[in-house]
Amino acid sequence: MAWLLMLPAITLMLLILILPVLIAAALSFSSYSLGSPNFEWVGTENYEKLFTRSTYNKMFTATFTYVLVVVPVSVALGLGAALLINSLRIGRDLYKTIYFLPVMAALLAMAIVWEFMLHPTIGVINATLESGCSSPFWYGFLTLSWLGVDPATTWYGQACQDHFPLWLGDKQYAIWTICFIGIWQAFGFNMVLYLAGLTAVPRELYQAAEMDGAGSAWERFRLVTWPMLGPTTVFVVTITCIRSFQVFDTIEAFYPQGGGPGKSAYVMMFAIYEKAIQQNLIGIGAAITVLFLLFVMLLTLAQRWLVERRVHYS
Amino acid sequence: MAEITIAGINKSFGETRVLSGVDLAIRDGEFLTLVGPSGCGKSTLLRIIAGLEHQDRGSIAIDDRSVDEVAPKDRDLAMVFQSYALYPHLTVAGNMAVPLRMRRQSWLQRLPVLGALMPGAADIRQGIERDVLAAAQTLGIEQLLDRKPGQLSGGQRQRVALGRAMVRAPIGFLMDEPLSNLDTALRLRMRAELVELHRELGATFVYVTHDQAEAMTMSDRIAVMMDGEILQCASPDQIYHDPTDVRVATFIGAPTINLLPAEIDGDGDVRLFGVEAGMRTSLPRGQVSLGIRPEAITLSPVPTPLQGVLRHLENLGAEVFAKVEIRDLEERVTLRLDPKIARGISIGDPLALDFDDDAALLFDQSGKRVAVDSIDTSSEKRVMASV
Repeated sequence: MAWLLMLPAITLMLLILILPVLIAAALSFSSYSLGSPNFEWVGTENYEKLFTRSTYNKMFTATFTYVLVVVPVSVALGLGAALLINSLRIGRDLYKTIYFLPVMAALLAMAIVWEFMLHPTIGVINATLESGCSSPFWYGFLTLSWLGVDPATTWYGQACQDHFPLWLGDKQYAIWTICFIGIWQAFGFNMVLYLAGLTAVPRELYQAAEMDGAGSAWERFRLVTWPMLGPTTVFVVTITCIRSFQVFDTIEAFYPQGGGPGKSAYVMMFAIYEKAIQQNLIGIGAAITVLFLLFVMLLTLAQRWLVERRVHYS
Repeated sequence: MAEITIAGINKSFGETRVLSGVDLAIRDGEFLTLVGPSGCGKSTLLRIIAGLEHQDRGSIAIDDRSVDEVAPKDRDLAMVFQSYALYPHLTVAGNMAVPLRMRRQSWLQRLPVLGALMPGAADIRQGIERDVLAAAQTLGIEQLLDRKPGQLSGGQRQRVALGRAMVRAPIGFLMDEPLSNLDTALRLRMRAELVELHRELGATFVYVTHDQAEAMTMSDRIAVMMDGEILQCASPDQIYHDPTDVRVATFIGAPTINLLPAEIDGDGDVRLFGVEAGMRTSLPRGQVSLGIRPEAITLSPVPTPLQGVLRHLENLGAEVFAKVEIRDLEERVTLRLDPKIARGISIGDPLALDFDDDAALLFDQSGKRVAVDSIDTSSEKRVMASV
């Protein structure tokens, strides 16, 4: 009887989750391409390619750079913004709305706006930066000459003499610019999660901390806020990790033809799309997918382990 | 050693006045209870003493030193919260060590891993461990030191909260309804333990509760608060037998004191239902109320002005409370009976009641207590032979 009741859920799960994963796993050991009559098992050849070819090397570099930058920065900013907003008496909702707007907006549309802003010649970002070069105050301030640094050796001084970066078009800057946009988009979501977490911290704990001698805001944060936000942090980090692994919209919007200058922004999701859909190399696409799933699964397991072991105190 | 002097404290939250002109002198080593109905401002007053809230006007002094500008942590008071407010991520030992770590260790020594490597850290840590163990032994919780608060029962958490408060030997303890989350049996036991702990430590205790039984059983002195004011501050005995305000008389004592409408005639005699009650006062003619505690009322074998019908019996085993409906009186009169006597009466019986003049309390129309002289101790006058 129990089995009968579970049957619909199990059937659906098998059909739309487990089965496709198993098929993808099987295909990753083949050279299958859509519409082709040839189907050959190639063993681990696809995986060998993944770990030997420089394209895939760049894929891992881009993906991990993105994850390792976006996750800590957007989590820290989200927490910082949540703490600041929480300490406000008025205007909380205004700030919440402002910071949450990027989350609600479609990233693809926002990517187009960013593309305009980051345009090397007509973009507002470089125009603003250039206007600072002619103002002695801003030039002096941004080149750190007030600290006694030689203006010509600083990034800003150099850029004023030469030219400002191409941002998205520059191999050196592309992935960092993508990271910046990713952070801009993600931290509002983390902020909202942290705000929810903060409401669950009992006020009496702060007062107890104050009586116990935690006089400064930092000490109370260390003693109460941070430990009490443990479950939230684990959740926020996991969800941000998974979302960062999934980054695709910005790359596809900026570089529809192949993953940025010198494949410097060739992230996993884009690689799957390019290989399996654009180039119809289902086998290698499936192999990347399996790897991607593996990362996500490891993250989820780590989260479960952490949640059960460390941060749930009762 | 801590004398806490509270002078002219005013506090409002927005439009709401919570405390108005509270004066109180808490003696050194005293167990003082602030008691009152919820919303009377007692918790706010405690938090102002702690420094967690700031008063709008007035000042707090500890041992003649004004602490108005002193941070909570530097007032050397410890607080026990109603919710215990234990740090859920720390063990019992960790919780109890927090006040000591905050005071004895520098911020470098408090760093998670590096802290242990700082010079002098080991000695301080051992000192803290020793003090924590000593406090835990006093409270009988040394076997719980490795547990997290989430694994403890309510009573155990209560002890840990006490331990965290006493571990640094503060000059005073502030307790905000610390027993109200415990079940009845445990609450009764903890009452006695708290009183013993107070005797042992000799520190000043300021204890907030809405439970008048707790206040009566534990305190050296009780301050009854209502509507942001202290109505009376005296020993439990005085508060019970000699209240200065009708609100104090009604709040303290269970079942509640009986308030009977009475009047004063031209001679200054108190008349109850038109009959002289055998008391005289200096008040002019007018309406007053006569407060009589349930235990001061007895059954009378002869007719009296207080006649009614028995409506309800509450049997508590050792004593029985009877509720009697008196003609022309909205509130039923409660009296305490010996179980043996109670067995002889049943619901619906007509009863005549008499009371002890000496225990009767007279309140004027504003609720203030009025002195009375008993002019005739015999109850003959009240016997309504003429009616």
